[in-house]
Amino acid sequence: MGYQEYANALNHLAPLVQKADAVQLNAFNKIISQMPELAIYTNLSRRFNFPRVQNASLNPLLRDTLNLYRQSSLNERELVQQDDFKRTGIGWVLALARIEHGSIEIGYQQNVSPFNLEHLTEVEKPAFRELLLDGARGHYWAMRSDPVTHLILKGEVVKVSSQTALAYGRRAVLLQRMLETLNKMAGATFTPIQKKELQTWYNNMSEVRESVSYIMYATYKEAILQQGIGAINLIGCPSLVEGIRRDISSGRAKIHLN
Amino acid sequence: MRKLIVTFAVLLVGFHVTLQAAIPRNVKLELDNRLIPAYRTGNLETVIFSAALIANKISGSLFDEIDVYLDEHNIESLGAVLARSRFTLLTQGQQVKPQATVKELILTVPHFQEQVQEIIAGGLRPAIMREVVESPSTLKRFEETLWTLHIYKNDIINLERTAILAAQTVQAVLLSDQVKPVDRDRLSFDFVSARNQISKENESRLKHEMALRVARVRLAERVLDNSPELDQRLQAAFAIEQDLKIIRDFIDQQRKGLFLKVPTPNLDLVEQTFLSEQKENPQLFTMANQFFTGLHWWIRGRYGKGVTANGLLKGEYVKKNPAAGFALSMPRNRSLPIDPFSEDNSERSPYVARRHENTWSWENGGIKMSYHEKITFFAVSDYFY
Repeated sequence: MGYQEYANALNHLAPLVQKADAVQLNAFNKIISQMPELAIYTNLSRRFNFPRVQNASLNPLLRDTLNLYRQSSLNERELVQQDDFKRTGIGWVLALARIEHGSIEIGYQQNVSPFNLEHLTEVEKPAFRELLLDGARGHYWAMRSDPVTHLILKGEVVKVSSQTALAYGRRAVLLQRMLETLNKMAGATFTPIQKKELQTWYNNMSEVRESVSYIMYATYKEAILQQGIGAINLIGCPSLVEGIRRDISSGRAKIHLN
Repeated sequence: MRKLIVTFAVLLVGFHVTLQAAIPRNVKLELDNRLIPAYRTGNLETVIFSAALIANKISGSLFDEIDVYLDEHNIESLGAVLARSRFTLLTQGQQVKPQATVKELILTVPHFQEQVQEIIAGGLRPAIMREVVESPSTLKRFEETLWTLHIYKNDIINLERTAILAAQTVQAVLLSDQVKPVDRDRLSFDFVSARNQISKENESRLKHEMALRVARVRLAERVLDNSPELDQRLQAAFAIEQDLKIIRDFIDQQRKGLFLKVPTPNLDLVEQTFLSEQKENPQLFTMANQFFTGLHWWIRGRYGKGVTANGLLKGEYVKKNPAAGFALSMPRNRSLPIDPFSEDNSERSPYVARRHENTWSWENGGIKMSYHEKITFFAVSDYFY
């Protein structure tokens, strides 16, 4: 749901905006400002600050996440005092469609160009950067605070089904593509500390993907040993499946416990 | 005296506690843990399962207690929630389980009757149909007025469909001979008459809508001839094109014998206006169409719901017939985003702030392998995105 709709929205709006002059862009923005349904709330990842929860009531995993979240160099800042993070305009409309459409494509489609950057319009760049970073934060902190991620990292084959592992692997791939895209389009705007943190997130997701490979291997080990990975039809997030096949073929599908 | 006051106070507190505790603990848990969260997130299958469970378990004044409790959470009565959810899924052509029992029908049929009465009595009728009001004077006001008629049209269509479905359900129960005479009276309702009245209301709506559309074309023509403001001109161009299409479709229906009591709008005038304005402003018409069509798709992507996975996905049928992927469920009223961090009790809008934060978890993959030629592991979900 949303894939077809956002694709149609982008197909209509992106070429129009690419050709538009300043007067036309102003007219688009004026119309959009009178359509409240087109407003977008951003900085959704601030929910990991757990504003309505007492610290003491959090379990150790969530408390740990909260501490890391508060130390993070990547949290969004208020543009104005008492910022309600409500944004509006043609740039935001396009950027939201692009991130939603691109995310489904990355997770489920073959041969994709992540987020179709070649068609990114100038007017949506700042909004897309914000939504991408907010999306990356949301996925990262959600995975960081999710006990299942840690079970996957520990290679708990009995507790995590191959289906669940594939889904988490898809999320890790999605987050990595978001980070790669951020680096490509806005790498120069990040400070060295921020870049280091983004790299840590990326590496963490590589560990998740390696662990997913291990779970797939361990679950179907007997069949894989008898028939080889090539004979097995593995279906899932295309990038992930490719990685799993490579890991298993090269004998890298193993995990080191700390 | 002091002792008497203390005793009285204790009695009062005790009475209050008794009232508060009237909902049994297991029912309260069902409400808090399943029904209310499912209602808030629009998970209708779970709403029906949970509400039917409660409706079949309790009786008498407990229904009132539950309705008060739901009202405190800004939720309609149990009967209304159940009726609306069942009929929403039925009108989407989905199989709804569990089947409605007599007890549940006694709770939901009055709600349906109320809805029909509300339409017939004009309770939901838009202002433009109720009063002698001046025609809108701006394109924005026209758009808003036509939107209220669009919502009313959907209400009428849904009610007409539910009239048929409700009649079939009630008829099946009445024929089953499992209904007590006293309940038989409570379930009897003249659905045929209700449908006729709904049809008349629809004709009245069409009469107003067509008149408004013709009036909007005239205003849009004036805007295009006189206004230098590009935002106004874009709206005017799109309005003329949209109204022409809708008026043409309506006249086609009249040619097939439908809605003959509704005055036929002047199609020639609208077509002439469109042709001459489009000839004068070809690029403007192309731009307006591209812009508003794009926004329309965006709104569908943002607020639309599919039929499975709590609205996040469309059904498997889309794999076989991609054109079927067009259908989705939109909110009744104009969609407005609500701050996800607001602390009021309102339903979330859009129902998910970002689709990408949720969709990843719907695994459509798996592993397939033949092992010793007999065992097959195969896990692919039925969902499409």
